[in-house]
Amino acid sequence: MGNLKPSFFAVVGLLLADIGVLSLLIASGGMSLGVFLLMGSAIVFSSGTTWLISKEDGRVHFQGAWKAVFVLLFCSGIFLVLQKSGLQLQIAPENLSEVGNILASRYLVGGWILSVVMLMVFVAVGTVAMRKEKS
Amino acid sequence: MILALVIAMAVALIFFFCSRHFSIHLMSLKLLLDILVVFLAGVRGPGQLGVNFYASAWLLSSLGSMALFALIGTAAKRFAQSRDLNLEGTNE
Repeated sequence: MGNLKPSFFAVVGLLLADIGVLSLLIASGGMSLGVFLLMGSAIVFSSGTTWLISKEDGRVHFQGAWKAVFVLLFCSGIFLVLQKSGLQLQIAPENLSEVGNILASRYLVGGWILSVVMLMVFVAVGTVAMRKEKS
Repeated sequence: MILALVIAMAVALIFFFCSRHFSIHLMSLKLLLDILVVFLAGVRGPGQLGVNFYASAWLLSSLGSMALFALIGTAAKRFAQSRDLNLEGTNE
């Protein structure tokens, strides 16, 4: 316990809050989306902990705490809007085939264009890297 | 339940804006992304179809995860280029 530092506890607390939020998502029917996000959380937590152990100190450095006032104002505004608009958390099991159909019908061409752009960027970066390596 | 989500969002935003640690930034960004996805997937009015919201939630979660992985990749590149890896363990 002696090596555990406050910043590590802060990261673990954020991870636990994240797991709570995702368990809410899984309990409300979004099983595959929740598991996908949980895997992402595990990767982010492990890489962040690696960075924390090797590069950062254990103290939590808080600076500009006055910014918390604006954050609280912003969040209370969001809560008031959600209350006034009558929105509520609804349990609905996800239908993956329907979700896939909607994603494919709306964003298929966008996905193709994005993949072509990313391929061109990778080719360009690879070419520049090879030129630098040769020179 | 919505109140708990809003409180978690406030905590994530406060940690993101007020701390100086890259690891805390990463984790608070992930918490913020997940809260936005839960809002998108689960919070809706009566009579609205859940499938549309789930599709948007999948898209948002994929894009957000990609952005986080890009951040992690940048950190890994900097980590690999640095010469003071501090493997002796004092960490202070």
